[in-house]
Parts: sequence; structure tokens; C-alpha cells
Amino acid sequence: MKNCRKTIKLLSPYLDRELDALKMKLVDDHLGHCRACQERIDDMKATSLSIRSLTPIKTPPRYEDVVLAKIRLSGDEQFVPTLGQFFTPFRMKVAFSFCASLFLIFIVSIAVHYSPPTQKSSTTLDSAAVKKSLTDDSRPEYLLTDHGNLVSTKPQKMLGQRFRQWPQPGLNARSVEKKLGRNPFYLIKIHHQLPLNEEDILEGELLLEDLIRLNNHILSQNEDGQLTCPPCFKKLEPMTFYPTVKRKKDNFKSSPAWQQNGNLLFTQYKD
Amino acid sequence: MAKKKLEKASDHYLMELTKDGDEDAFRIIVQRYKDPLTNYIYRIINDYDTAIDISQEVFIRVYRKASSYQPLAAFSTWIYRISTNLAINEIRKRKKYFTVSIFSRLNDYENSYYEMPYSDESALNPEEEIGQIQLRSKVREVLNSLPIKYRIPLLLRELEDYSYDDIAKIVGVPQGTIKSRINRGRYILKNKLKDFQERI
Repeated sequence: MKNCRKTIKLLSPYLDRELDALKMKLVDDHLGHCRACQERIDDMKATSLSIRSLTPIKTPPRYEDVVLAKIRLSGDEQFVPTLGQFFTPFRMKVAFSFCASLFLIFIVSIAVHYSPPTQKSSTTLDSAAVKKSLTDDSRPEYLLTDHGNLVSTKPQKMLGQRFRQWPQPGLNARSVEKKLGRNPFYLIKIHHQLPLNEEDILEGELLLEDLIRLNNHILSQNEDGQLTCPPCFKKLEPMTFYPTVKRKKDNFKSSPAWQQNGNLLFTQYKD
Repeated sequence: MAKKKLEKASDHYLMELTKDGDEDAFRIIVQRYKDPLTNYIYRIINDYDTAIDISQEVFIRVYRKASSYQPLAAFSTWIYRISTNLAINEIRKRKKYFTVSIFSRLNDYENSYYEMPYSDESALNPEEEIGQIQLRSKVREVLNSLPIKYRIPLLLRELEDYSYDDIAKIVGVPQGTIKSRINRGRYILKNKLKDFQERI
């Protein structure tokens, strides 16, 4: 073994006779011709000897009697650690970390639960804009009709599986409120390809007041009668659909025309 | 059983007798281990009175656990493991609450009442004798400054002549770790002592 670096690592176990025969011989051979490593092992031996030369401590007289007396005094009961012995620093650290994480989770969940929805700024929709936009190709997506309903001027893009599972015409404000509970993270949209007329507005359709009431955290009406909503509104994808126009079930399922006509939709508001 | 026979009995056998309530057998165990254990604990925590207290606590625990003792491993490994754990607990406690024994400050046990005569010192002249005392004092100081993770394996190796395998069992870490810790501990000690020896 010519490499000193490899040998240095083996010197300590070599001194303690903890190497196998092959390695012992390799170190022996190396020490035979390497003066530096020979000095290193001599230093180690001297260090070892200096520790061994420390004066051994002796116990005081009658030590055994004291031990036996202590045993008799303490009785034969099993050892039960005191509070101080039980709460070792390591256990304290683990317990503290656990409690801290629980507290943090609690605080975060409370904050999430009670945090109000973001309403920093708002976009505005009004009746005049509706009338104007109906003749315009670049119509806005949501408009307020003369009937006081919020309508969509663009074709309905998404009719998911949930829609087909919920062919429930004639939902009214109360039933919707009951279904949605008081969750403010639901936003109601009325999708309508064409402007609503009297025939399209059927029994049970929600009126603007209902929409505002159900979504008081999201939609609001200002003093001029304008309906406002936060700018994040358009970023959200519709997820849940509740058609309310009263139609026959078969037509409802099969007719693609339905998708482009009056439907009242509810959209789940995602964070 | 005659006392002489007990003195020659193995640790396992003595523990079996202790299980049955034989106080003499337990007394032999205490006699056998009291000095090396106290010495070992003293080198870890560097406080004579506390070392005595801890070593007594070790024997009390051994007595109480005699009924559940299983002779699967060497008795000495087991008793040293208990001692090591109690000594480490004491060091942690001291880090938290700084404690000093007033008696250990007043008495230097190693150089007074409890000192064992150093075998070659009688043949040394006064200057050499002072040099030896200074060196031993320095070794103690350097040993105490060694981090506990290096100090314990090194003490078990140098003072008690335990194999790496036994030390690994006592400390509760892999054998490879013990090997590197002893190597590292020796390296630190060697460097510190070499500086001192060159100065004197």
C-alpha cells in the first residue's frame, strides 16, 4: 500500500487491532518504508498511552453499603421516571415541534375559513351597455337585461357531465340557496345566447335580486343600479350547472338548441 | 454459596442469583464494576461527586431490572450502556442548568486522596515528575474539551479496552461510525497534545 492517505484512515483501527489480517499486513508493509506514517502511528500510540496513564478514580469506602442502603430505602417498586427524567430535551423538542405544527395548521385553517373573497376592484355592467352590445359582434360575456336578469351574450362553451346529471328545471331562489348553502364561493351566471323575452322567462327563474342575495360577497349593485363583480370573475371556469328553464326532459337532454337558448347556470367559484 | 465461589462466578450467574434476591451476589457485582464505572463516568462528566451519584444510580437500576434481565449480550456492555445514557443525560442537564459541585472544586481527587500512585513516578526526578503531572493535567483538560461523541468511544476504547463492536452496542451507533469517531478523536487529541509537548 503506497498511498499514505488510504493508510492514515487505517492507522487507528490498526493500533486497536481491529483490521482483518490482509489489511494489517498492508499497513505493516506501508509502515515499513514510510517514515511519515510511522511518526503518525507513534504519535497515536503516545496519545493512547497518555490517556491510559490518567490516574484511575476510586470509589469512596463503603460504597456497596451505600448502594444497598439506597435500594432498601427506595423500596422494590419498579423504576418510574420523574417528570424531569421523562421530558428529556429530545422529547421536549419533538413535542414542541408537534404542537407548533398543530397550532400553525389551526391558524391557517381559521384564516382560510374566515378570509373574505377578494373584492379589491370591480368591473361594471349596466342596461345601456346591454342594449348597445346586443348589436355588437364583440359583445361582453355577461349583461343585464331589461327584465333585470344577468344574461350571457356568448354561446355556452361548457356543458359538463354535471349538467346532464342535473336536468332540474324550475329551480327557484330558495331551492338554489338550499343547495348551495351559504357558501360564498358560488357565483351564479345566466347563460343566454339571445336576449330574454317573456316566453323564455319561466316559472322559477331567478331574478337579479336573488342573484345578488345569493352572491352578496361577489356580486353587488351600486347606487346607479349597476351590477358589479370582481375582475377575477372571468378567470374562473364554470364547473356546476343548474338549468332552470322549464323544458321537457327529453328535449333538454338531446336538443343542442337548448344549449344556446335560455339557461340559468350556476358556476362554482374556485380559489 | 461461599463468598469465594461467588467472587469467581460469571456476571450472568450473579445476576441470576440477584434475581432470586441474593444480596451477596449483587454486592459482588457492585464490587466488580464500581471503580471502572465511576472512573468512566468521571471522565465523561468531569465531576467526582456526580460521578459517584450516577454510578450508584446505575447499580440501583441494575438491581431493579434484574428480574427482567436476559443474558443475551455481555453484562458489562449492558451496564456500560446504562452508565453512558445516564452520563449523557447529566451533561444535557448541565447544559440547560449550569451546575458546579463545590466539593469537586475544593478537592482535586486525582492528585490527592484517591490518587493511585503512578508506577514510574518514584523513579523520576522532581522536574520530570512535575512534567508528568502537567502532562496528565493537560490530557485531562484536552479530553474534557473533546466533543462528547468522540470522547465516549475513545474512553471506552482506551480505558476499558472494549472492541469496536462492543462500543457500537454501548453507544448505539453503527460500528463504522465508532471507527471514524475514535480515529477523529485521536487525531484531535494528538494535535492538541503535540502542541503542548513541544512547548514544554
